[in-house]
Amino acid sequence: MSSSLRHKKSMNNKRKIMKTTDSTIFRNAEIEANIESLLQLLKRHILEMKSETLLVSGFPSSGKTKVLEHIFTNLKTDPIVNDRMTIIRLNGLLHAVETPALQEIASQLDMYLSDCNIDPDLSTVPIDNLQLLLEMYISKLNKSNRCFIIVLNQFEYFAQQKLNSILYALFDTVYADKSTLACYSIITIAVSNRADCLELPEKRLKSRFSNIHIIINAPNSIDFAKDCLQRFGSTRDHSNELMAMDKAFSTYNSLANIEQTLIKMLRCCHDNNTIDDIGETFNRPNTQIHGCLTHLEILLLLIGLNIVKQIELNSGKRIHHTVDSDDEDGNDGQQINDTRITFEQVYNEYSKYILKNQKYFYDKGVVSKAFDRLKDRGLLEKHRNRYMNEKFNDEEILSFSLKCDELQSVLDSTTIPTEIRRYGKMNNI
Amino acid sequence: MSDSLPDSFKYRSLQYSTIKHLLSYHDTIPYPKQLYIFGNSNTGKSSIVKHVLESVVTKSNIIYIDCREIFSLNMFFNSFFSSFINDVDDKKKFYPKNLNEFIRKIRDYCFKQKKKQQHYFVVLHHIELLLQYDTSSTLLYILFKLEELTLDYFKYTLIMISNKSFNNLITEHTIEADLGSLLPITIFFSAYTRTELNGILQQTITTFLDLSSDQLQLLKQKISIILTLELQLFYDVTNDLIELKDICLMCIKDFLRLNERSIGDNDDGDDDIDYRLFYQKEFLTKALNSVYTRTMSVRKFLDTHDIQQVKINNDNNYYSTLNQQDVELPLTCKYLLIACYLAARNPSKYDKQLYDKRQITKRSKRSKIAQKRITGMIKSTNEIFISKPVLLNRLLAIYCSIVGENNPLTCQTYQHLTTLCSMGMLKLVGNKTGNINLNESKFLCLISYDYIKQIASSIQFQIDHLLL
Repeated sequence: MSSSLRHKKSMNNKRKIMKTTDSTIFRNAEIEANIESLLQLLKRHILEMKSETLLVSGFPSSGKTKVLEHIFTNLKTDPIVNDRMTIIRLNGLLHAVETPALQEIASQLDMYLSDCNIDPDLSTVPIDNLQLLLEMYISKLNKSNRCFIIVLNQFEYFAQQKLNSILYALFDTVYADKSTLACYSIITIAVSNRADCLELPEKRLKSRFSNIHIIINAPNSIDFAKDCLQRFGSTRDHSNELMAMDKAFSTYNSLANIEQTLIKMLRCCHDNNTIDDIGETFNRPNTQIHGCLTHLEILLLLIGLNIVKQIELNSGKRIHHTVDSDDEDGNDGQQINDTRITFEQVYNEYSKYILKNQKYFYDKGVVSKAFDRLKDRGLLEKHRNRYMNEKFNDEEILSFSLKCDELQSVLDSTTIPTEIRRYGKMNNI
Repeated sequence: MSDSLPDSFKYRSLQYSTIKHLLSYHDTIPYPKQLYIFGNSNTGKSSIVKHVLESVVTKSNIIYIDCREIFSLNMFFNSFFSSFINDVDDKKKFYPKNLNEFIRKIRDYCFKQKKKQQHYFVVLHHIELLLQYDTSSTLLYILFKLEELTLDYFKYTLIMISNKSFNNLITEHTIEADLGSLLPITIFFSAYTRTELNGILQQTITTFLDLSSDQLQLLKQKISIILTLELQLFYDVTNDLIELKDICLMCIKDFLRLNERSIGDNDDGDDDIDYRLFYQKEFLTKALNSVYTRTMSVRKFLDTHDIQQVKINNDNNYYSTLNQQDVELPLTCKYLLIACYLAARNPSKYDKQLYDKRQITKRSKRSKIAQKRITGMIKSTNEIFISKPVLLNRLLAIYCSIVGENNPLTCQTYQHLTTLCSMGMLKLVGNKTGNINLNESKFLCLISYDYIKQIASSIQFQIDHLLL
């Protein structure tokens, strides 16, 4: 049994924390040095035909894949390493089970065979053994001493798969006896968004992982943005936009979102409201109900919210809603999505309302259609029963999916008729 | 390829220019990865996207899927490949059964065509419908990550069009934590304002009408006024362009019919009928209640409803053209009818016990039941009910009792009384000589028990509890 999995004395720190930026790709010399050491580690393993397991973790879109692709690109520059290396990429969402994973591996190996002008038929042959598949590949290539780098993206899904997981097949292959004609090693790189992903697999799988755990933190957003602007060939001064971006991304800087925002900014640079758009593009867009709902729809929403409020008051629940804009205890427009209502309840309340306000009297069919439009917009959602054997009523049970402060801003608008605004204020909605 | 925006989208120039700049080719700036376009229905989202793509991209690079035609994920895969693959022979080979195969086949096909690395535009219209068929709740994430999953062989921009905002699209089952780091560029299509709708409808409706240019010129102003009148009512209910187009077109057709009739009747060609008198709230509400709710087609409505005939009918108190069952009355009218029926049916000496809420106790209820037992009369619902005239004061007192204290009498209540009289449900009666005493008006209830029962059940009023 190879002891190379358990210890790496050449690495001083077993846990490396790296920041990633783009374009060199990395700006920081210390980070670059760490990346270089990882690169050397992999190179050494490839040349010495040693198997290894590493874990790379970090927030979503913090640059994990970028780091690995950069390393692989550098490895390919060495002809000897490139000749021995075969990279296979699997994703936990799709390839956690053994059979589809083997099909994917066969398909990717066929692509390598095609590049070498060899007949790619691995995916046509039904193979249910990973070791056999790899050995067939090596025999077709007619080259021994191969190193397979298997990247397991979304590793937590691999780890959570209990039955027929590809991980068992993978590690069995690592430790299996290899023939002299098909001598190969496997470097497994597990990539995950979760810091506790190593706690997820079973004990015997957990023990196969080495202590090499690389944590990647997202870089400073302005630095990354500047690198992107340089890459996109922009020579203009974008300091105002970058300041706005830094403010918008102050809580979390996803590299993908930064890149998308910059692409929009550069492509639509003729627009005057680009700076305002930056915050809007990153921040989760609101439902944009202001200006898009008719008076009848706003009235139905207010009536529904009034019913929800009455139900919750009767059931003794405490509800939080912003009554006053100056209210310091306001909870920033908490979403109301727990209490369920039906259309009939809303229509009954509507019938009482129009006794006093004949202006908004419409036929039941018209009111029902307005209600359906609210559902289409996603402001009302059909309630999903938790239990399969829970009986469904004939009436559709709905819950709200909008925030009080959004509706509050609509009520404060001058375009809303006075009677509707009065209804909202009277019922403290 | 035409670069100008069609006239029907003149109010969408900002969105058009934004989308065009995002999807045009650029040497150094890459295409956006994901674009999310949302807003009310029928606001021009998919039309603008199609127009932009056709102007900046070759047709073979556009994969357009309308998810209203998709009823399973397999259908989605097949639709995708039928747009993606041009070669007919190749199309036959690509029938993926699941997501794994779908991604693998895309990658394999792109790998074979790798010399011509193209950028595709995948448009998913009504994406919220497609996600309903996603049992694993990972489809949206996989669509976002398709380039990475196909090992960078399939380069694309994903354009999603929906009525919902992106927040509401992500259901409770999707990988929100991962998806939260992959926010698309969002473009919002706001609803048309009333002024914009007026302008669009004036343009589009005239093209639908089969009129000569001279006729159009003469009638243009009147059509514009009618549209304004219609939007005053309809805009409170709906701002959907297609819905408004249907009902407005119908009203315009009715106007044209009226116009032809009036020209035919007046030999000297005088057109001095004030058409604005006709298009009042009653007619427009009828149109809204029937055509908008799709309970009646436009043609049937035009055949059965005529603005002039309706006006004549109202003037002559002629009610027989409309079936009682089909009329949807205002709430006040319903309560007035119930009050009148109760007043006519129950003797006045029991009014205090029945309608005075301060005295409704168990004792009074027992007295009511005792009264029934003493008399020994069981009123059958089938018994012929001979209506007696009811004093206006008594009628209004009962009405106030059943409606509640918070709804005072207004002049509209009296207006509804006259409406009911004109509809033939109530009748204003006088003494034997025919003189009507306005100080003590009397009304006769002309409706049957079945109809009043139907009205009461529509507002969930337990009329049987108050009938003796």
